[in-house]
Amino acid sequence: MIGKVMRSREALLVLVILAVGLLFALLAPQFLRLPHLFGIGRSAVILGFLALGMLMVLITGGIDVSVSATAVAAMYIATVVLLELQYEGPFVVAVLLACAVGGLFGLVNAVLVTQLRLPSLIVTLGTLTLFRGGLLAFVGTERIRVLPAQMSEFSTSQAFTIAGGTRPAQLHVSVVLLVAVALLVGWALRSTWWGRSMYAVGDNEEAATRLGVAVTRVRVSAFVLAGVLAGMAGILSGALNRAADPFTIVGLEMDALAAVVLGGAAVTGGRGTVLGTMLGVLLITMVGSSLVLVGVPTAWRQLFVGLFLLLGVGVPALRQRRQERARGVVEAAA
Amino acid sequence: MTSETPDRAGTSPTGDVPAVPAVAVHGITKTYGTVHALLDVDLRLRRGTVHGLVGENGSGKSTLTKVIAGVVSPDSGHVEYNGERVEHVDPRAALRHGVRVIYQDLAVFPNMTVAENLVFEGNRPLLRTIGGRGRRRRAIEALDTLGLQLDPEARLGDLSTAERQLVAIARTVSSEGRIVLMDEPTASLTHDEIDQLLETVRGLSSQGLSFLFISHKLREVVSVADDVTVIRDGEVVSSGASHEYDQSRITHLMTGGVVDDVSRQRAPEPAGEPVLQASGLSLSSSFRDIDLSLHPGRVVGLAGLVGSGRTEIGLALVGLVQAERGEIRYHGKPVDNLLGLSKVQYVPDDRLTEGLLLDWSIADNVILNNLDAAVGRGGTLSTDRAVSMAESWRERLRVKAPDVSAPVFSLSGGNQQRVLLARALAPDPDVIVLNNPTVGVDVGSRSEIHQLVRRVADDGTAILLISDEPAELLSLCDELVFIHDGRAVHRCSTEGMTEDDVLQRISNEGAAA
Amino acid sequence: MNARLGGKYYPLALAGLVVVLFVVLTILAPNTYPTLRNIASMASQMAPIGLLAVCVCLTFLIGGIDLSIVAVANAGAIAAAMTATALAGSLGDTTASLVGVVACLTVGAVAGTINGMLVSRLRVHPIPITLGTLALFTGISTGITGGSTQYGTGTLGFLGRGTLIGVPVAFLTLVGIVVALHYLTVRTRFGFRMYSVGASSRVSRYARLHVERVQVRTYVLSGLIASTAGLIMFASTNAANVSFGSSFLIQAILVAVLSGVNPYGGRGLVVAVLLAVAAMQQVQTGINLALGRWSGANFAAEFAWGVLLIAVLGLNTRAQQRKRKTVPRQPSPQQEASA
Repeated sequence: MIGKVMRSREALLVLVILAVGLLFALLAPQFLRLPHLFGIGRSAVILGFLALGMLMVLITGGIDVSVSATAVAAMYIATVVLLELQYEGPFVVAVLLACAVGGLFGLVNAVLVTQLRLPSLIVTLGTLTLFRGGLLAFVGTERIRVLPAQMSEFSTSQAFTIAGGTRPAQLHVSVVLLVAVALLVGWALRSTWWGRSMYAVGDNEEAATRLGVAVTRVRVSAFVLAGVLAGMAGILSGALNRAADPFTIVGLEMDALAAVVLGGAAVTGGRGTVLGTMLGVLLITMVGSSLVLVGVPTAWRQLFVGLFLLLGVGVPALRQRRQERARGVVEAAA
Repeated sequence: MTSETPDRAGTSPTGDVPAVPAVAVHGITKTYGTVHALLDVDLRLRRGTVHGLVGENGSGKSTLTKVIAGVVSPDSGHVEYNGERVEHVDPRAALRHGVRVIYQDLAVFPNMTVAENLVFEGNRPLLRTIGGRGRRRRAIEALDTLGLQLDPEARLGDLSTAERQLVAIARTVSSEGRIVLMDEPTASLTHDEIDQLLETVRGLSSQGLSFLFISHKLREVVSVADDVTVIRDGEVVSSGASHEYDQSRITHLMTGGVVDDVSRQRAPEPAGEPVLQASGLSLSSSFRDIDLSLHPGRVVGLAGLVGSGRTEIGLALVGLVQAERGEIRYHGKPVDNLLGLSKVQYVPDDRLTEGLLLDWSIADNVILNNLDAAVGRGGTLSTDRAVSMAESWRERLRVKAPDVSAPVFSLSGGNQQRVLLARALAPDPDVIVLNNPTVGVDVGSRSEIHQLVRRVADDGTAILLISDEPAELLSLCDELVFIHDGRAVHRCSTEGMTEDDVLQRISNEGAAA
Repeated sequence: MNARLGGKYYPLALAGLVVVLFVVLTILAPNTYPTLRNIASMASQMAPIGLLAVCVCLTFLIGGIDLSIVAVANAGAIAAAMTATALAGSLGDTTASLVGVVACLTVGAVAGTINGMLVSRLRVHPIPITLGTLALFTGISTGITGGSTQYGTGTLGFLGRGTLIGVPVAFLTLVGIVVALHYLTVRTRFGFRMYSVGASSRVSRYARLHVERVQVRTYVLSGLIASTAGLIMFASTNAANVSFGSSFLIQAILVAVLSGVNPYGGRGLVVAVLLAVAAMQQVQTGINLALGRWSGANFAAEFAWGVLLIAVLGLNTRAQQRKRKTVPRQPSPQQEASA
């Protein structure tokens, strides 16, 4: 049992995170300071929500590269609407609104993929440009600095503060929120028939159909939830940055995909865990936000994302290919 | 042609109470393109009995199973479960009526663990939790009753074919189904495992479960079934109580009397240099220490269970699978890149996903392995050359199609198989590995393909034949090699062997080793 | 014989679309649209997108996809610019630029080889692979340039802006490459195998074709052509930046889908790219004419590309699904054994 745990993807990731952390700590002692570590948590939030959504779509055997555009569109539209209404109430309404907008965008993807039976990559590449282009052309290009009061205030809502040193270490509420949502998603994937059906559809769609799974419903739910979570990521990004910037969150779908794949999910579906995904998010964010500490310009950040994605795909693929070769498999069934 | 009136009487074949059958299908017809998969099929599965459904490969057994399970919708006819007529059967409706199926392709989830596969059900309310360890315990108990010691946490994709088959069986018998359809459940199982299964089936049927049991191992069917239905080329040719049948009568019905037990004029004892020779061929988890010599004009058969390693050995001989140890010699010279040899050809058994490009024309399929011959002036591909080459093969193999530009998916199984054989024969090979060359073809095509194979061998080609069918092995081969668990456990001449001898050797695990 | 080349009338329909677009735009803007100058300008603008679309078509044909093309194009352009600038002092402007061209194409070939090796050896779907190399190549370019724009020596201008008897050189390059590839794919044994691998890599493997070789060569071709597109982009502006052509990927995929090449592989004609890119360029020019002064014009164009991509793909898929009959699957036990 312990052997199995140690051989799992999650255990491997923990080891890698510890090793990379150790390396950073040796090169730059300030890496281990609490404010920096908590800062990593805060920077992981947006990616974390996007990755959770991406995970669900990947488990069902699809891919959604439009999550970043959905996030920014949901955030901007929700903010504009609330400002228009001169809304001053609790932030949670903004969150719900953004999630609803995001869910709607996810539904668009879902309908195109399941009803027109189009490949999800090309559809979501299309909606990626469509959502972003539409937002900038028809909603606005202006960076909004004056947000509803409670939305701005959210950026300073700390879960707790540890005083000390030159700067107090503060853990932001959104980190706690991410952890809570991740736990919920993880539980649902493991313990509900919906979750098991997600894996079944991605693993062997034909078998799932024959066992009575409502395949379309399950697929749709994955895309819609990916949209909802992207909306969540978007509004939190607006709140944390205290500005609604329609040009933000560009290209983050790549980081999300890298995180999910690092965490053990496969684009062929049927695999992936929330824990693995969160560890992937942590690794990518840690490397991304600590490069400066060790003197590497952030311009190289994208390179690491690419490497992580290729490693996440390549290493298990090599292992699988070796197994297949030993079993005399000519070409594994798609 | 023998024809027998199917027993379509409303009463049960044993004559007593005309109870409501667990499943009744009426007038089911299903066509694919121009081909009848099922034609006006009636079948009654009495409650608490085992009903054997037999027929050759491709006679429509699997399609009928899928119709009852709601996976394939028939063109006409209808299905009744426990007397309740259901117009549009889909998998959920069938499941609701207690139908559970073991599919021939197993329909399992390779990325899930054994336990996850066992407890998975697709027709549950999505928002409910799976809950309870009881379900899991029951599932694992089902494994035990089948005599299977498996780590419930093992990933299913890492298991052997036989183990996966047993998991599929365990899943079905542990679920709360009342009607169980089993499509070739024993294909990869050994004798002991089969005995366990048959015992389980008998036990459950005495508890009131109803079974539709499909197998081409007639001995199993005769021993376990209460009733028997025989289908041929999509039609029911006979149906009745099992005591009315014995193996030879069923065989006769299945083949319609067209038995081609004309075994071929035996080739002389191998003399001289083999065309292709393997020695000490090993691949870690597939096969070990395989020695094989293929001589011109001789047909060697590989016999063994599904998953025994026989297919992988064939693949290694044509370079599709790389062995870890051992050597392959072609005309006496060691070769490492067999793929470069167009004089060595392979005919896969699954023509729909491994053999043919279904959307492509006959011509494009036939020239695929012989492109050099389709090159015309200026070193470019010539359509004329391709078409005339394909045309001559179409005539030689008597492929029924208007012309060679017809897409392959529009042909019947037998004609598709001929196109596949033409592709392999076009480069004039000196070695061919055939994997179940008559799977899913009609009876007539089958004997024509057998004739063709004999002719090709007589012309001096060395042939390795992998087959599920003892009759086919006996009728075509000069020599048989029995594969069990990756090893060649027995070799013998086919001289004087009977089908029962072959079956015995295949299923008796390693007894001869 | 022609099932794999796609519908017989599809190229005709595409040509019809090009003509209709031309007539409509001529009626809408009779003074500015049907001028030689505008046509020449459109022709040279077609080149980079057309070449990138060729990359997508080739990889679509073998059942793959290359998402890294724009990153390769930019990396090639940056290599050309930096090499030329660095060597201009010692070799002179012209020679330095030629070395730059070699550097650019080398980058393309290396990138293509990396893609091809990863896709064929790992047997992973090309989507995550080429997304990974997209990030990788972009990361390297960004890291080396720090995101700043690189300028060349200006001696390659004829490639981007020059004309030959009135026809833009860039457009001639596109036509030359497309015609050569049409010949390669339709008339050679290698091309036949490309179609076969695209129709089913599984069947091709069982037919003992060298599937890996076909894949590697196709991705190398894709990389080379992508870097050629980068070279033309660089030549016409004398500038290279990692963020150039941000909407080119979607446009290239749109053109590829519009040209009728099946995204699932094994069907279509590369030469149709010429018609498809002409149609798309006219739509682009039409958008510019209609929205020219509006600040959101570029974004509206992006929106339009997204909508058109999905619409065209949806229509093509619909048409093919209607044509294709359902084929019964009769899986055999062996299939399971090797699965």
